Amino acid sequence: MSGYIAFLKKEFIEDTRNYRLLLMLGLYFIFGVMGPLSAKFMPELIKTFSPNMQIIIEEPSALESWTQFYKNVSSLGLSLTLIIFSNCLSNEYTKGTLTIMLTKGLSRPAVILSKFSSIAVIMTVSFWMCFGVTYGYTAYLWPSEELSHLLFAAFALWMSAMLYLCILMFGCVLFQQAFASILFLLVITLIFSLLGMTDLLSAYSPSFLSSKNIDLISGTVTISEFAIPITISLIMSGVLLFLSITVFNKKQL
Amino acid sequence: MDILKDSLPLFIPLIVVELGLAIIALIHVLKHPNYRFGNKIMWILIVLFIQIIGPIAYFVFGRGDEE
Repeated sequence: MSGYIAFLKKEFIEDTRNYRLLLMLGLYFIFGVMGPLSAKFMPELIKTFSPNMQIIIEEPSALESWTQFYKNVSSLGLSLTLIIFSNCLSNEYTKGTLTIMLTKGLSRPAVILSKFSSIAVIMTVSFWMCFGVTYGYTAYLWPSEELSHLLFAAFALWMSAMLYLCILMFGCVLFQQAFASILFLLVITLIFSLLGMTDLLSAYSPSFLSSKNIDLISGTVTISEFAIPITISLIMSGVLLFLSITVFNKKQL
Repeated sequence: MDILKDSLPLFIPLIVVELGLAIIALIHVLKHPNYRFGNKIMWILIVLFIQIIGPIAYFVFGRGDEE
């Protein structure tokens, strides 16, 4: 336990020095601000710069602002997050820094768990900050609009982000190179989205959590439909974390 | 265009954070002339002209080891 806490501290210091923390906070802050602003002003900009264009532009709404939030965070935000953290273990492999600490008595599960917790904490803080910023801007720009289930929809996306972090962790344990773990992640994501396309499994696939959020807010999907994907993601995250620990226990460094 | 001018303060946080990231990355590029690949001019251009993704790309892929 003390090894876990000590290594966790080391992880946070490393993430600060590596600029990872700064990048994550900056990235998610920008996404948080950009969603509402582009929803509000993009139609205006299009009108100003191409007045001849004949397209029907919908009146900006709070729903559009949240659509932007989910689009940005679930695609670009999540991919950049995973890229930022993709070398979390490969750096240690190449520099051989882990070997010293492991021979000094640090337990192997502690390494994986503290790596995962540090990433999860940074992700959680950045994500909810992004949510808060979008919430504030949306409430300011569209004060009269009330939307339901905002918090739960964001929770579903956060849950799927945690699942992807677990997959990344497992990928990092399996492969020495950061590039290979990203590739592994891509393959898994592809499988999820393929599962999401089939009618039979779409309601169970974890990709449901990151694609149906806006439908929940607009009311075409109910909260109860999220129960199964959330349970599946939770179980998968747990299993993946467990597998990462077991594989890492046997891994030669 | 008036609507944009009126709500300029709303954009200030966005601009501050984007510029902040770019400047922090720029200082790092100038102070640490060892890159995993590419050269100084390339990284300066990337960091300054590609919003958000430029600084991230530099810190994740371009940053060399500390001496």
